[in-house]
Amino acid sequence: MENHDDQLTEDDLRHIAKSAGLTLKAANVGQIADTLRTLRAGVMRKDRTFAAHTPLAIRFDASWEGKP
Amino acid sequence: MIKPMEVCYLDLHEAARRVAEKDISPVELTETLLARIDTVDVRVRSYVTVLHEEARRAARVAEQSMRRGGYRGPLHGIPIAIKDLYNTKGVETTSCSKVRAGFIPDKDCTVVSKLREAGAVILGKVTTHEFAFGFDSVPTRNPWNLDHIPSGSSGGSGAALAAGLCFAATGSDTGGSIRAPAAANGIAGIKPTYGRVSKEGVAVLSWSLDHTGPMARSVRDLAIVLHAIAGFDPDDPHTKDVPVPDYAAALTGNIRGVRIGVPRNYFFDDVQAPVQDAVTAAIGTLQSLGANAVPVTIAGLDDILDCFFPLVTSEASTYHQKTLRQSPDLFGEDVRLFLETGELMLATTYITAQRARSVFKASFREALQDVDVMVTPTQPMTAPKVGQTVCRFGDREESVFAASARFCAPFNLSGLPAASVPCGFAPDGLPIGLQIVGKPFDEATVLRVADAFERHSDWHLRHPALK
Repeated sequence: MENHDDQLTEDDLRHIAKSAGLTLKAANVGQIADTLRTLRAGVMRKDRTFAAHTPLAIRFDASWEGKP
Repeated sequence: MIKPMEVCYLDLHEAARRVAEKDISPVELTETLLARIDTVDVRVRSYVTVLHEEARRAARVAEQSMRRGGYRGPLHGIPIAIKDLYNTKGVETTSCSKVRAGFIPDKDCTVVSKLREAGAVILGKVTTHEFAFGFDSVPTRNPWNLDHIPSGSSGGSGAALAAGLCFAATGSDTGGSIRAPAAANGIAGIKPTYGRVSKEGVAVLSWSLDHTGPMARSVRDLAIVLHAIAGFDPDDPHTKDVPVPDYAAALTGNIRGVRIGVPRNYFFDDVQAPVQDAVTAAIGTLQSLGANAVPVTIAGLDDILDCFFPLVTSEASTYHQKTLRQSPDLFGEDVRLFLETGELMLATTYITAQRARSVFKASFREALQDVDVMVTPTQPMTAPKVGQTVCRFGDREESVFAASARFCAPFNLSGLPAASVPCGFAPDGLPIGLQIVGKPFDEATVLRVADAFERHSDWHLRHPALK
């Protein structure tokens, strides 16, 4: 999947935050946009390396596939 | 007659032996430590709350109980410190945040209950980076050099131990917050397997990454405290009902034939030279004790931190969702920035990162298949200076946050047990840590290897001058 985060503007972010009832601190907006872009890019790069049927690792029951 | 300074730097197990043999009393131990806190902690600032009277009372109760033959074991009458993230009945528990100012829990969290049950004397609450979301632990300073941070987020625990202000402390670890301050302060710490120790009553940073565990000045002390706090907790659905072995009994000193995986990739990239040298020497020591060093490759670690950060920021933002809307100005600037970032993380980014986590877990499982433990540097660098935001590795710059998490967070993602023990000092006098990682629920082997190393090194016996 293409990563379109490089097109994300600070106004977009403010709008998304507002829709979630959140007012971003003005000084943070630029850095948040950068961080989201970087992380999304890394995660999507990783996504291309594993199989589509890969499950979520999250398991709140603390079970471990590799039992002791 | 043992001098006060020597009392403060006794290992917990040695203090316990002396208490059991009536060489020293819990009241004497407690008074000596309280006096040192009052003198030294003005500069180190590791405690947010010192419980002078409560500690004295608990020490007297322990002493009377022992006199009546009610000795409970090696924690009985031993003064310890509790990270301010842990709920303590009747004692302000702020997570070092204005958000929780004045919060006084009406019950102890499970770990504190277990420690009290074992007879430990709680000296007070020690600092955490606000809500455990960072590595600075302001205002605490590193006792080895007060111009440097103690790392974090369990910075108060690490600094208090290095300064001789408690015999053990609790920590919590979401991306390295037990191991990073253990390395930075020249003490020992273990992040147990996910699900080994209860998190009930401990403020959440990230449900799927948080771990609780002990910090101390020796591996044997870690074993004693871990044994007291580990185990299934019906009040914590994250815990798993796996038998808790006698960790201290596992410390045989014998690691002949133990297979030690040494990662060929990732864990030795962008490491400061003194750290590289100290860890290489430590591996040599382990080999000289009969362990076999086996090169291992951990597949697919690319972008692992990019997959870690969406998890921790999204989960933390969820936990603080309400407060971030009602009173955002109560958060420190760095924490507010992280929380706002997490709020705007796409759900698909979070889910893809959790799927990537399955891949990382499988890679670590495979890497550990033919070895008993793996060793890595705990941190790629020594403790940064107060206010420093960036670390330099050759031509590359990395944020202090990312550098601090780089070698630790992979084991929060994988849930594997990982300890840090001192393995040297850089020319600038700051400590260096060796990370030892084990298989799920096999803390005993991690501690056995760490203890064997400790028996053949003296790094853990050095203490900061703090003149």
